[in-house]
Amino acid sequence: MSQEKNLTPAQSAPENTRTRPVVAPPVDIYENQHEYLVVADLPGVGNEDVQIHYENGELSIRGTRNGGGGGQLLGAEFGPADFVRRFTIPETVDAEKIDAKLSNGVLHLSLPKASRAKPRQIAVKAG
Amino acid sequence: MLTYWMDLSDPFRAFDTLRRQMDQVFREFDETSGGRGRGGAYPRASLRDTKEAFVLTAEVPGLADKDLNLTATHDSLTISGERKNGAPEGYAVHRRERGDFRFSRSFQLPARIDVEKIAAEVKNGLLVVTMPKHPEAQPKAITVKAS
Repeated sequence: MSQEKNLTPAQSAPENTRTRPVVAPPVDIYENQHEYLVVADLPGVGNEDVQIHYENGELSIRGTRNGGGGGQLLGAEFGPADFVRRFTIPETVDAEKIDAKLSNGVLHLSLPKASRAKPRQIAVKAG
Repeated sequence: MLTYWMDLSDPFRAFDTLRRQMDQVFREFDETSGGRGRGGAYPRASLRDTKEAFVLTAEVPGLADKDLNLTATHDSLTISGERKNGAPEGYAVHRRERGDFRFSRSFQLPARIDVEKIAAEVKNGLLVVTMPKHPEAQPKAITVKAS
């Protein structure tokens, strides 16, 4: 469980200068021996509207959803938004190999662990 | 935040900051899975009226075309679907906010639509249904004659 502490959200995002709301998207975080997996729902965000930033051990995900379509709006339960989420990443992640893909409005981020952090089997020799 | 309390020229600044931060917290909560139940049905949707058609947009992240079912009558639309995304095999779970869901939601439309011509597509996790208005419901210009 000690690992979970490392992947907690960083402080809330700074105030926005635009009027569109800043939204924290729901996120799943998984881990296995080789990598962390971060999955986020970003409905309405295209490939070119996602920015993933890694700096000083902090990973930030930012996606922009623009207003869609013309015509008269009869009712809206959602609108343009900035999806923002930030996480502190443990040092064991190999930042060079972070990989991201977006499909059906779901962002999949893979954060491979550095090889020194991977568990290693140590053989015991007979003495 | 404590430093603000020392600012004698504006002793209420701390409250102002606190209020703004609380507003932000509530706003974010409303938008996330925790607040999903608040303020209505799922999935969230928007309806637009271009002159020729009604366009419904709904948030369906993670659903492909085969996961969605649409049925329509001459003045209503029902969308249903299901998302199953169990934890990937062999991974430990640290945080699960997205969850699985199953939904069915009906929309009453303000005018008659042409059921045969409905078109639907799913893109970037948004479902867009374009429902052309029935000729009867199209606005018609009426000329006013001088008598």
